[in-house]
Amino acid sequence: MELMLPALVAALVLLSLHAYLGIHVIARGIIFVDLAIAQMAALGWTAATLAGFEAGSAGAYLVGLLTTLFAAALFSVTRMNHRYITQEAIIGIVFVVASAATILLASQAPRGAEHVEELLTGSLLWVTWPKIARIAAIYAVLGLIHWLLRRRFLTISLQPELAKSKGWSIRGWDFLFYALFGIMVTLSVDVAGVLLVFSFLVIPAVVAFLFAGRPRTLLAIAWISGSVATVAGLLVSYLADLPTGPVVVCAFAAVLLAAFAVRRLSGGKPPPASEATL
Amino acid sequence: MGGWLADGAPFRDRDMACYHKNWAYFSARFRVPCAMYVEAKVGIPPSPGHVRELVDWMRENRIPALLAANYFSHDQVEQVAERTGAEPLIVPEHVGGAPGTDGYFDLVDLWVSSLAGAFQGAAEDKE
Repeated sequence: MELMLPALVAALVLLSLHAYLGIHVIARGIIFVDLAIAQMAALGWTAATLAGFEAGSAGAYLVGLLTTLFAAALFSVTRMNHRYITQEAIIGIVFVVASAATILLASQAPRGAEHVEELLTGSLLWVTWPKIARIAAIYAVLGLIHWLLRRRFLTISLQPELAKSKGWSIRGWDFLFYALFGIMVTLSVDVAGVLLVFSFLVIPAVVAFLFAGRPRTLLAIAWISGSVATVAGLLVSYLADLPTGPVVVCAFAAVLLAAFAVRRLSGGKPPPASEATL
Repeated sequence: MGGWLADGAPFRDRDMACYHKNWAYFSARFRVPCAMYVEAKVGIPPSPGHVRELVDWMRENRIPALLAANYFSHDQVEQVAERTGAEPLIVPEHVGGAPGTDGYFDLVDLWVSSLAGAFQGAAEDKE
C-alpha cells in the first residue's frame, strides 16, 4: 500500500488531463503528437544533461520545455490543407528526427542507454507525494486554462471549418494548444513513461468516441473508462507481482477490447466526430 | 594487513543491497555480497512485490548500504534508502565518472571508503 497509493493517485492525476486532451487529439487526427512532443522533451533533457545540468533538475526541465515549445510552434504552422500531406506526416517526421537526435546525443552521455530506457517505461512506482502535488498544481492551472478557453479549443478540434469561418487565428490558438499540451506531456512522461502516457491520452478517448459525440459525454466516458483501467492495472500489478507500467498499458487495452465488444453487441453506429456538438 | 584490506574490514562478509548486477567482481574480491538488487532483472522495472520484499529484507537485517552506479535513477536509490534507513551510496562505476576519480586507484578508494563509512556509521549507531 505504501508503494501503490502514490502510484494510483499519480496515475489518476495524469489521467484527469490526458483523457480530456485525448479527445482533442483523436478529433484532430494527430494520434502520435504526444510521442513527438515527448521525444522533443527527451531531446531537450539529453542535451541539458550533456551541457552539465543534473538529470531531473529545474534547468533540465526548462531546456526540455523549450524544445517542446519549439515543437508546438512547428505544429501550429504546419497545419495545411494539402490533399496528401497531413499533420500526422509532420508529427511522424518530428518524432523520428527527435528520436535520432536523442540517440546521437545519448551516445555521448555516460548514462545514455539507461536514460532512453527510463523514458520508455517511466517510474510510476517510484513517484513521491511532493512530485504528485507539484504535478497536480500545474495540471490544475492547465485545466483551468482549458476550461476557460473550451469553446475555442473544442470548436477548432471538432469543427475546424466553423472555426475558420469565424475568422479566428487558428495558428495562434494551435500554438497555445500545443504549448499547453507540451507542458502536460513533459511532466507526465517523466513519471509514467512514453508508453503509459500514450495509453492515458489515446485509449480512453477512443473508447469515448465509440459511444458518444458530445464533449461532456465524451469526457465522462473517457474519465470513467480510464479510471477503471488504471485501478484494474495497478491491482493486477500488485496481486500478480508484475512491473506496473506495462500491466497498466495492457489493462487499458483490455478496457478498449471490452468497449469494442459492447459497441458491437449493442448495435447501431457510433456518432461521428464531425457531428459532435458543443 | 593494510591498504584496501584494512579499509574494507568494516564490511567484509557483510551483506549489502545493490541497484543492479554490476558489482560482481568488486563484491567477490572485497567479500561484500550484493544480497538483493533493486532492479533484479536487467532492463525490466521492478514489480511492487519485489520492492516490498527488498525493503522488508533491508529493514529486518538492518542493511546499512545500498550501492548504485551514478548513471542509474537517483530517485529510486534514494527512496529505498529513505524507507530502510540505509545509506544511498551513489558512486561512479568507471574512471572519470565523477570528480576526483581520475584513476582506477581513486575509483576503488572511493568505493571502499564509501562502503566502510556506511557500515562503520551503522555499527556506531547500534552502540
